[in-house]
Amino acid sequence: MSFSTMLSTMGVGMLRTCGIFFLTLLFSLPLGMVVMLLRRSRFALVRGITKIYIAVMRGTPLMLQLLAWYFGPYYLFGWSIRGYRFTAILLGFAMNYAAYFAEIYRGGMEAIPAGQYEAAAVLGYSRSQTFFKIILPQVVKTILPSVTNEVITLVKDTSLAFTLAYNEMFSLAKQIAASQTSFMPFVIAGVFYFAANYAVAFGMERREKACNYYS
Amino acid sequence: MRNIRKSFGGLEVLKDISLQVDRGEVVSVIGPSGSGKSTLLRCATFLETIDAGEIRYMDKSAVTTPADGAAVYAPAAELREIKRYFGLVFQQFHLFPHYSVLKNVMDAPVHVQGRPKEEARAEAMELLAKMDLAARADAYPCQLSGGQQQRVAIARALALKPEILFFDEPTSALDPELTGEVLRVIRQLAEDKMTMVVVTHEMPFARAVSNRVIFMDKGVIVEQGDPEQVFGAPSQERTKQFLRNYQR
Repeated sequence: MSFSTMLSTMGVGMLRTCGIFFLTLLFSLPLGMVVMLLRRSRFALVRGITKIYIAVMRGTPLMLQLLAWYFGPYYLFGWSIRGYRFTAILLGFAMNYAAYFAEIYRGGMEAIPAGQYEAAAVLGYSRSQTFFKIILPQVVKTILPSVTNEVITLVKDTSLAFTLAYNEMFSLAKQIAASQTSFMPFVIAGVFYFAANYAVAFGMERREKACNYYS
Repeated sequence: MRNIRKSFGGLEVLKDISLQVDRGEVVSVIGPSGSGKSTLLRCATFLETIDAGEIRYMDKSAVTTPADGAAVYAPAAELREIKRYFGLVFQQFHLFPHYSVLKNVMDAPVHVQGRPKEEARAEAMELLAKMDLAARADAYPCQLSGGQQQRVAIARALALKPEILFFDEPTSALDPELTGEVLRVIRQLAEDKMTMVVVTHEMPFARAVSNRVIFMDKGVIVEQGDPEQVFGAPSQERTKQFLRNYQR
């Protein structure tokens, strides 16, 4: 197999990897915010359930969770859903990463001094005004490095989709390497991951600089 | 405020405090740490909820207490209206770090009071000019000294045109040099007949600027009256004891 054929074959895998990556972020970033708000709920029951959810998501391997999402519906309810593979992958990734983001957001929220809330209250800002105008921008600045970490981890975690026999880029690389007895696919894979992570780190650093007009 | 009681857990911090402030009055509140001065301000500005007592602003009642028990607060919409009557300046300033000085001052008038942006901007610049900070309108709080930040905080509170301004130890976080510039601003406000309640440790300032001085200790008002009388010839022993520390 020529290098360019290898590259184009793996190109399909790259698209799939990117698909998992962007869709996971699309769902887990906002979902993490919801989870964080539930975690801070006034109702002990809601807080308790949320804490258990976070503990399970962070305490068990993502690979295991993917298997649970995929096979769960059949073994638990006898449901057999067509075309469920990609949905299961997204569910698994999004729910897992939402838990991590929720804790990152929570850390950022708790770093905001109480005085900010008090100043806003005395000035007459409503609760949602306080949250979106005063608190959230400050939280974003604080959590950017942690979020960057998770995003970089996600780039690499996409390869776990092989657990559900989804041919993203890394599984394709393995298959080609095996059939062609060549190390080149792994090199291509490595370069791809590195380039993707470099782009992420670069983008996040620019975001951090933009937030840095105050410190 | 009438017959205010406030406890935190088992600790009774305010024990039956009553306080009335008339328009144009400048009232200083002095006293040792833990006397309840800050708690009094925080209750007045709804940052804390009182256990019993009454709070009224102008002709509106914010909190009442029925004969049988716990304080009852007015509905949220009513409280929102009442909030417009007062402003609070914090010891730690608490400016919004991600807003420029100008935005700190003009944002609340626009988004809380619904004033048009251009009008709010013009008034904000006017206020900043009065504080001698017009040149720093585009700076961020982190670039300002403590005294400058506190003056921006005062401007921010004034921008909402409150009827009464509360100050919670406005200069306690500042070194002596910067304290002066903030006291100058407060003195100017007093001359402009702004109604104010100032919790402070700056005795000479309290003596010079206030119409009335209140000395608090352990959750009660020990003595109150004309500054010359309270500082010059205190009638209560506790007051004498406290002021002794401030006389060289």
